[in-house]
Amino acid sequence: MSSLRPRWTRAAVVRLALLLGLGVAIVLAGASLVGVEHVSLLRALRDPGSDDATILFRARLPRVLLAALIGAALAPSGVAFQALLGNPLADPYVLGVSGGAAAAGTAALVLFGAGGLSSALVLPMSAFAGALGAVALVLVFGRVRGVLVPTVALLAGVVLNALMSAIIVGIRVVARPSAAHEALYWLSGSIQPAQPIALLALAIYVVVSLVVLQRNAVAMNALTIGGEAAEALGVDVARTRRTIFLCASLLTGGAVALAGPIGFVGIVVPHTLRLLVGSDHRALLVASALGGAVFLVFADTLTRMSFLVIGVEPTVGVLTALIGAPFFLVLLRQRGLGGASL
Amino acid sequence: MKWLAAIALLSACHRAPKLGTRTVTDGLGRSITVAHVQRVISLAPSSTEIIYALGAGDRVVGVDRYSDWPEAARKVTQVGTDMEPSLERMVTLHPDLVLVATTANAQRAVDNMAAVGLSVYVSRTDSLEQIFTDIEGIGRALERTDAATALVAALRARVAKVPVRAPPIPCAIVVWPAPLVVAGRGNHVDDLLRVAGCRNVVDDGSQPFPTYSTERLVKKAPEVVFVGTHATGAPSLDPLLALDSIPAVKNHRVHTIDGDLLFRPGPRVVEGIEALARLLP
Repeated sequence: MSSLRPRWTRAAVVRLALLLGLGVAIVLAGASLVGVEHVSLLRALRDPGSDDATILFRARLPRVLLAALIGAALAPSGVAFQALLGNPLADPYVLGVSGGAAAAGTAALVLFGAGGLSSALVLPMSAFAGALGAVALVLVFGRVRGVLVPTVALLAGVVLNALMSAIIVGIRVVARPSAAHEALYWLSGSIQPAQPIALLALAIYVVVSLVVLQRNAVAMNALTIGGEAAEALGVDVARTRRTIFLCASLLTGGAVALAGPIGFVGIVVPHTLRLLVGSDHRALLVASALGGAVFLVFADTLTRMSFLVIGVEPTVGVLTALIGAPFFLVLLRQRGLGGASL
Repeated sequence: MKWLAAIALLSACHRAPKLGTRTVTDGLGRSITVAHVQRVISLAPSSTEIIYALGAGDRVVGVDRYSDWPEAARKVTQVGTDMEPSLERMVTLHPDLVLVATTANAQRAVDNMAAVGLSVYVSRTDSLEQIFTDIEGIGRALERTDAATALVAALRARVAKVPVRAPPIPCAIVVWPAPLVVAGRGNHVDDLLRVAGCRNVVDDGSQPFPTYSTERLVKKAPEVVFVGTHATGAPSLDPLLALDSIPAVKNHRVHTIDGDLLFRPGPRVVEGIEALARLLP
């Protein structure tokens, strides 16, 4: 019930956002200065034709920015799914929503290619549609006699995830060999330099979804104590659920369209931040967006750096799974699947 | 009567070398006993191209789905993908020999073929010289030894005409621009680059085709970058062209090149070498 106490005033949330935003800026700058090759910032700024400038501004910075955007999409989407399903273990990846987005994205990629407009509009919208479809299925099959049961919903998501992986592999098998190669990253997420138009499009999807979610933060607080109780508090539960459903799907679809399914960001970040800022969605959403950015930039920097150790670059999805899966298991142990307290 | 049948079965298993059989050694050094090979299945585009180049295309009864050259190969019965061919389809085609390649086929698939009694010839082609050896080996297996000798001699003559560059030009071959996959060491593509007059700048690491660090490629400063195209056309070069301090990018020396000429270790690699050499400054 503490989450309903109006501890987070608008001013407090703004202060939190500014503080965390500063942190994000520092992390972005730091991550841009770390990499496989040593670069001099001074030379990069002075001589735009230098290797230092190319590495810093063409190879590293776009990737850091994309990682930040994807993290800022996936972590709040985890928060939203957790509120929607009333389950602390809900996450776009675990629920098969990323998988649904990836399957639809793969199909679109094979049909329309990955050209400029396609990567900004067709792929994200297909992935969005795939995410919507997957969430809808989770919501349909997660019900027992008309009531959403978090455990059942999560299991439906797990099954859906397996189905989507099978569909992606199936599309790859029947597709032309080169399209199959292109579709590789839809199986395991990877941060690659994106075209500016695609980056801009993702930024718009993220900002719009976050603003809408933030406006529903109080209703989300009410939802976490249960639909009936929220109804009693005067919240339009059906409408709020619909809004969360759309925003979370858009966040997931937009992220997956550019980087494939990157797992566990929506679990690790929100739960860590709940310990720090509490469960009030007014603060949690903002904190998750910025914390997600920091987390994924950190993970992608590790990915880049691991080239020095193993001679190849793994995909970032491997790293987030290595961090996230144990985290998920600990959470499972502590809270249990059924006791859905946030 | 049962024991009689058992003896008959045993003796059938213990095959004495029949008249007219020959033993050929494949790329893995295994000895394969074949009779007159009339029916061949090829599970790698490179093997298919070698068979046709040896004038034995009429003996091909099955190919993998990526074997699309020469044109005639497209009309042959397909037996599935190189990694997961259909054993049943292969058995019903009654091949005398199945050609597979270490670059394209999984060891497990090879084991499965041997288990159902198919004779399997495995090609191993990590260098240009091994490609020539492979052509000769397949030639012996198909009793096209003279054709193979002539083909290899012709290919060698063409290679000899490729101008030697001293010092060699620093180059890179990009298999895929994003995620960046390049040709590293220990594969035939690296060797083709060398023969064409290049020095492969990707000389670190042990993987033949590593997912490479973009930053490292910038630092390696290749003078020329070749990007392999695939059946459906060239991938987008934008991620590469953004790296404009790389000499190859600065001097407009990022060239697309037909990937089938480079990545298929068959007779057309010499065409690939010539194409690479022509594009060098």
